[in-house]
Amino acid sequence: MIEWTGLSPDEARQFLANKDKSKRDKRMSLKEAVQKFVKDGDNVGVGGFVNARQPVAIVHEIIRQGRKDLTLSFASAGLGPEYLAGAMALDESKNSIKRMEFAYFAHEAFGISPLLRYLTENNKVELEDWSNYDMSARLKAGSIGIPFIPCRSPLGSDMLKTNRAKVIDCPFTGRPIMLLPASHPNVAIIHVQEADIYGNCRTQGPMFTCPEMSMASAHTIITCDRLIEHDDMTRFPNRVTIPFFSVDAVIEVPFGAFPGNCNGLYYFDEKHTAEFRGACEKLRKGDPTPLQNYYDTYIFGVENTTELINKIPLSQIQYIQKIEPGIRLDAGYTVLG
Amino acid sequence: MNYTRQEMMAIAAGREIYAGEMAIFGVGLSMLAGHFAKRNHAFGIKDLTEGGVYGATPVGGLPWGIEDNRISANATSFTHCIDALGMMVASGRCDVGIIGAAQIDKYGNVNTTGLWEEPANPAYLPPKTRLSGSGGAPEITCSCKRYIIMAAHEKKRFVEKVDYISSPGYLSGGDARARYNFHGGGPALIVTTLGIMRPEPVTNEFILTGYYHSSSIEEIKENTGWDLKVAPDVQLVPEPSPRELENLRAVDQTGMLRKKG
Repeated sequence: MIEWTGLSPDEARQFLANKDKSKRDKRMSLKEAVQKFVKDGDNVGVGGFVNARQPVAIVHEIIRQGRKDLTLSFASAGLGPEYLAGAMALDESKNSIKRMEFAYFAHEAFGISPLLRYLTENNKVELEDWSNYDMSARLKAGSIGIPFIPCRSPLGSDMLKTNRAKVIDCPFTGRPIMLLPASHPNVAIIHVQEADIYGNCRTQGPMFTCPEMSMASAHTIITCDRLIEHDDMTRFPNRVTIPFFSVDAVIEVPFGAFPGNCNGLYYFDEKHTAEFRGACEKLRKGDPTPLQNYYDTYIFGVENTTELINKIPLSQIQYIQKIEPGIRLDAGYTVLG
Repeated sequence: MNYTRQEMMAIAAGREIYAGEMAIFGVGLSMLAGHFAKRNHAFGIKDLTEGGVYGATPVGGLPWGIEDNRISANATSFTHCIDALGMMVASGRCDVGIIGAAQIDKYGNVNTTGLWEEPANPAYLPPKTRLSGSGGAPEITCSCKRYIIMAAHEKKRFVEKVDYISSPGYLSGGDARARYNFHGGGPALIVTTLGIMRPEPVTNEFILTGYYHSSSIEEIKENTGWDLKVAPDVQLVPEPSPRELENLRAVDQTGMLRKKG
């Protein structure tokens, strides 16, 4: 038996069997959603992929409220875990990450993660290394109620020394195969372009691992750039990537993925991302002041994402909307009044 | 002709991608080399990214990430990560991939996880430098029929033995890979800012098979952390043609490869 982080497969199936699956209005404030569904010690699934559709607004609210001993689960992420790591680096008594189960934590062309370096090089966090496929497969297993999923990659790698995978001879082919334990986060935090009041989500661009993550988790908090009419949502059922019954809270947060990219709506704010990452790098090198100032200005100094966006020059916001190529939110909708 | 070593590397890697192949590219160098190939000679290529984008060509500049709309605005289809890396790569469908590396050893094993001062049992000690983690590269190295590794050629990067195997190459050399029943045949070549290395048959140790007009065999040996053998038929790699440079620069709109030599 292994030690499960988040829910065990048995606990998860029990939980999901009893979960309220009614089609009800799930709108609430982000404050309330985080109070209700994110607890100290939780395994939190971070949606999006690297810096696309990162649940930045939800993470900022978690930081404002303060949560400790979190386990983070994701395939590839950047801004979400970086913000949490920054909060931890500034005040461990208020926010802390205990463990991360992941494949990639960095910012692609912007550079590696300063605070992943800070936390690991100072031995402040427990890591479990996987590949992107491994993490997606673990969440897929979780979403379909199986305790493990077989996979070939990366047999032969050193990841097997840090993670809980087991290598067996396949009972059907006789060849070596790796078994990955299912992942069941306590709560998935996901940002999408469009949702309705029941929690149905329409995502633009690749789905990443968001549908699997939502289905594998006990709870799901959704922020969306736009709340739209339910009838418009269901006119294009193929485009619904996360169905309402796995969702617990829906909050309309325009720019909820800022300063990351939200496919079809806004591109990366290259300036702001670089400013934040630069402040993180300074902390790593021993100067916490710029990062403290950043948090005081953009996270602790505001109540919500609207107030954060009010601090960004309008010209910059217009620019990230303008340079986002290929606006193809072509399924159509009426914005919910 | 005026071009940088980075451009030479991207063109040399791109020349190894062929028309009609199914290919997976990562962000940055890998994507530039791949889309250079697609524009220059590898017509009808079927390319994908691990984020779940199939059949797109970058628009509006080099993407900051493999998941953003610069590489998905004109996609043929979108899918889930598990489908991109599973149905397209782990299934055995994908012909070729290009990956980067922070550390590479003589058997083509790649480390993108971290640097430790002591190689022994690294997983349980804090690293000296923690890197990003593997991302989707392990799927490419285990399951693509072949793949290309691209990296700046520096002594600290090309080491006898990597501190941590994130993405398996030929492991301990010889037929060590065979026991894992991977679809993929392993790293076909390493293309660097100085030259090209390919595995010696039997041992699967990487040896120098090509150098550039802008480099020399001596310079490459000096900048390699293992005793690099030189293939008896080592070649001088042809310089970029004007057409190749034009096509590369059309893809490298932001001039990432022209910044430094």
